[in-house]
Amino acid sequence: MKLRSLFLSALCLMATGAVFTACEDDDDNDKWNENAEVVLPKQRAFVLNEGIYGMNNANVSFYNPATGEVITDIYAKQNGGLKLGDTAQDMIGYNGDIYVIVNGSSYITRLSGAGVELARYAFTEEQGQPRYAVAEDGKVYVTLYSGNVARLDAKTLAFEKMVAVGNNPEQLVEEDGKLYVVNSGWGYDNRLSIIDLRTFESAEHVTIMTNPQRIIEVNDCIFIQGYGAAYPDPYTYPVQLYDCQTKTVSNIGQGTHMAEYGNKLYVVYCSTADWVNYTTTFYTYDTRTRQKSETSFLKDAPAELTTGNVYMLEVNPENGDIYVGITHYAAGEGDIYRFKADGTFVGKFESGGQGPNAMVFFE
Amino acid sequence: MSVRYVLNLLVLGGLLNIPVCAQSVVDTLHTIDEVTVKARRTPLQVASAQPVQSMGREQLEALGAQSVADAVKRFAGVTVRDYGGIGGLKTVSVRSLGVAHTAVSYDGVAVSNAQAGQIDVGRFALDNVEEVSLAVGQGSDLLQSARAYASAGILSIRTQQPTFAEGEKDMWRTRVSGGSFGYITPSLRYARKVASRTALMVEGDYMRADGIYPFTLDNGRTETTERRRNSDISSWHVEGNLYHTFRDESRLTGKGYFYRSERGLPGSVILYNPTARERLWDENFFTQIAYEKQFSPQWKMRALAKYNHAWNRYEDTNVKYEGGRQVDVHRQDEYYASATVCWKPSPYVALSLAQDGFVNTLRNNIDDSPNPVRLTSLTALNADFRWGGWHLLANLTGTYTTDEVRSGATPDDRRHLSPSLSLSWRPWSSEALYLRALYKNTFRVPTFNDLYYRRSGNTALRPEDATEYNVGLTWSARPVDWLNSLSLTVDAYYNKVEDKIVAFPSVYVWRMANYGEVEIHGVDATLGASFPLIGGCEVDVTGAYTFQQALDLTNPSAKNYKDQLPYTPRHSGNASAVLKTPWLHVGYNLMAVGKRYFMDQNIPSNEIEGYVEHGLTASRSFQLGKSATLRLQADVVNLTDRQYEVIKYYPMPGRSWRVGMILSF
Repeated sequence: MKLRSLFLSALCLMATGAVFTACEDDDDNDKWNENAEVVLPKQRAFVLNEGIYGMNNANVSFYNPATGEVITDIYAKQNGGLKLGDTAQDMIGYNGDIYVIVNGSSYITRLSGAGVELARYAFTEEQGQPRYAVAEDGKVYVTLYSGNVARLDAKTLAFEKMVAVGNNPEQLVEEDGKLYVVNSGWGYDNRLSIIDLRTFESAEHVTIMTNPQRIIEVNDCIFIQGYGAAYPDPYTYPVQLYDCQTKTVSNIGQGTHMAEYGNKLYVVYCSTADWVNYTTTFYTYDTRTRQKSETSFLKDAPAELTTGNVYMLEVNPENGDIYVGITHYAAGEGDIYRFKADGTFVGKFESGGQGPNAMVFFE
Repeated sequence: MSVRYVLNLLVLGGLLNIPVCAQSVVDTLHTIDEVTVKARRTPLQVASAQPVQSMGREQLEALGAQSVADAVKRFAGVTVRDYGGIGGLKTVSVRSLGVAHTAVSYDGVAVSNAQAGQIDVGRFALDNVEEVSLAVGQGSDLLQSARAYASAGILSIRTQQPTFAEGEKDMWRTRVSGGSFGYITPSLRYARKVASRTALMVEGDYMRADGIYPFTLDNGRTETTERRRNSDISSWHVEGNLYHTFRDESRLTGKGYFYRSERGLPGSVILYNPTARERLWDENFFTQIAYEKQFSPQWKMRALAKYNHAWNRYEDTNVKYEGGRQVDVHRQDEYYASATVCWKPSPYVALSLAQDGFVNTLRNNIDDSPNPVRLTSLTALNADFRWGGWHLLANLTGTYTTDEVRSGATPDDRRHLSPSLSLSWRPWSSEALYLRALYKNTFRVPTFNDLYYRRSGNTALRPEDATEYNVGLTWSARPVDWLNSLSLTVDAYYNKVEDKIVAFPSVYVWRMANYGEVEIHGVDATLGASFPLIGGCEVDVTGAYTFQQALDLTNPSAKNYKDQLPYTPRHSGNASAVLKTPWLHVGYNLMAVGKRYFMDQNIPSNEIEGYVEHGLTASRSFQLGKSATLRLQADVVNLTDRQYEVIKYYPMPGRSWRVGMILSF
């Protein structure tokens, strides 16, 4: 039924080339479309385009996985033409809503599942500019460049409190009642901060790589990625597996982006020797067997993808579809390459802005 | 008359289309009074083999130009990047070649910035400027330093020199000007003839503005009036000049200059986040000395030396920094010497050889900074041939640079030969009609920032290469009785920049790379005319139009391939009219700039709208007693209160006004 409805929607769309309204009758419970200017289908994906620093050109694009249709700057279209702001850093989905962190504009916003703004919190100068977010049990946790993690009410975005972590905290994950936060210190920190969510009082610190950037949880395993060195030492881009019991890390390889699906860690390693040409490799790590497989998780990646500057790796948790984002920075809008879970290339679309860095999916 | 004419030539020295070293008449400084040339002379921009444009003091005042940057905006083929406000950065790029390809000279000596490669022309007050000129290629003075040949274009700023009337020994000039946004600038100048062959001049000025100006912020369903924050500036500048003519009629000039400023950097307007806490302090001291001597009718030489010290402190306050504050301190020093000899064996030929040497250093407060030291040697060999209506200028400039660093990789030494050739032809001696052509190849050495900047610097960079071709037609005449004068210039050009140094994004870091390639096709046209009216009144009109197609040819598979470079309008121009009456001078000017892109990709969401800005100026001079004059001036800038941006999210001020008075005695 669901599939058929989608198929009909798709057909309808292709036939009219217009709006969805007429085709959505089958979806009896489309509360995400409340107050929406542009009505969106049930199966939705959103792409966050970071934009260029100082240019206020961050935006969110809508992508229809069923039809391949892209609506650029859906945020502006759903919110009376308002711009999202400057340098969008992170976007997550939680309870059917979208949360976007806009670093330059220094706020977090909660959008409906169609992109209509429902709440917003602007961080103060003392709190510092926000970086990344994770949501759990009705709360949103946000890393702040003041060296704190803030807790906000997920519905109202009311600021509740913040806990000091390391310097310039970046990504964070929740695992088993604890927050794990990596601190880059812009090259001068090398710690993982761990906060117990029951108390949310203080953080304990564990030494990991120098200058970490990213953290992800796969099947109760925590993986960390970063530069591995501080300038002027050459960056090594390690990917480390963190052992929660022994509080130690072990290197599993090199990488620049990570994603997860089906107990597997997907890693992209995008490297360059001359700062002009790139080589990109893809590999996986199986958390059950604790084995790394050098075989690419993409089967027939177009050549330009393996020489492009990868800026995003996302997997649709529902069906395992893989999305690889390429940035052209100021030289042009980003491109996204979509693959099926088995690695077959589906197609490519323009991200509708500069520097696609995150996606969320709704079914 | 002839003495005055020659004096005028000497004053204009660097710009005239005549082998100046041939002139054996010396500058008898103590007898100069106001230099006025009554005879109609072919304007420099018409007679020159290289495209040259200039604006003299009178014109600058009549048009109400507020700064050197304001003057340069009125030249054809020039892009001024103006970040808005009185303290906002203003840089000059000639014919889309890039900021670092344009040299700036102040009283004949190059002003440099080895660190960033760009000169903020907003820094130079117009208060003491006699003339601003811009040459594509180089000026045609054979006595100029080798550095004047080494760039694709040169912007020359020449300051006023004191001119004493017979029997006069002291001269004072005081000026106060004030206007919108808390702007006020008083200045004082004193000149004294200390001996029959020696004059001294000292001057000082102060300037401050709070810079808080309103602008409209358009954001979808909301349109709000905001105020520019952290845009204040205060600066002062003192300068001393010495002019001496020896008994052998050789000339010595010396200058000491000090400038200090403190300003807020408002940054780009960031939506929803009004915080702007960046501050910048600047200091610049330089002293320069120049000596010029004519040995014989055939031989002449010029030598100069300069020491330059520049210091700046940048501070940003934000909790993201350790300790809540980031402080960067940079110190640059330059030691510079130059000598030129000129030989004119016959009326048809003049040759010159210029040798420059300079040392640049950079130090800063960063622990692992490489503290580079650069030695540069420039040698320019020039030849000037004239025969009938033909005029040929040939130049070959050799560059050698070597860097030394305290830590990190040392770049390779660089050697390069840059040729240039320009030719002009005047087919009829009765008609001031010229055809001209120019070829020039130059390169720019990577700046210290390009090579050594923390994280993004790349010591493997090669120099950036620029080639210019120009053909032009110029004409000056008085074709009809109801015109006092008419001059027209039209130039078409083709430029190519290869190995362009661009900030290239890599996985996480930006690196400088020799990656870019740009091709520029353009047309510059200028017009000047003067109409007599009844009752001793006159109207001067000028116009300039520029067409530029500056395409990015870097990467055929890139989305911006063959797209117009950011911030480069295809069409731009300006026009002005000055009504001169015995009672009042009224000047009107407009500047029109077409649509541009603020990002590389030429798509609608990256467009910035074009704009037209109008300005109005009125001034009057009064004679007070025998030797005192008072001049009053009032300007309205951006008359129609047009909201526009030159750089995206750096809004320009709306309508503003200024009034000023100058008292000289």
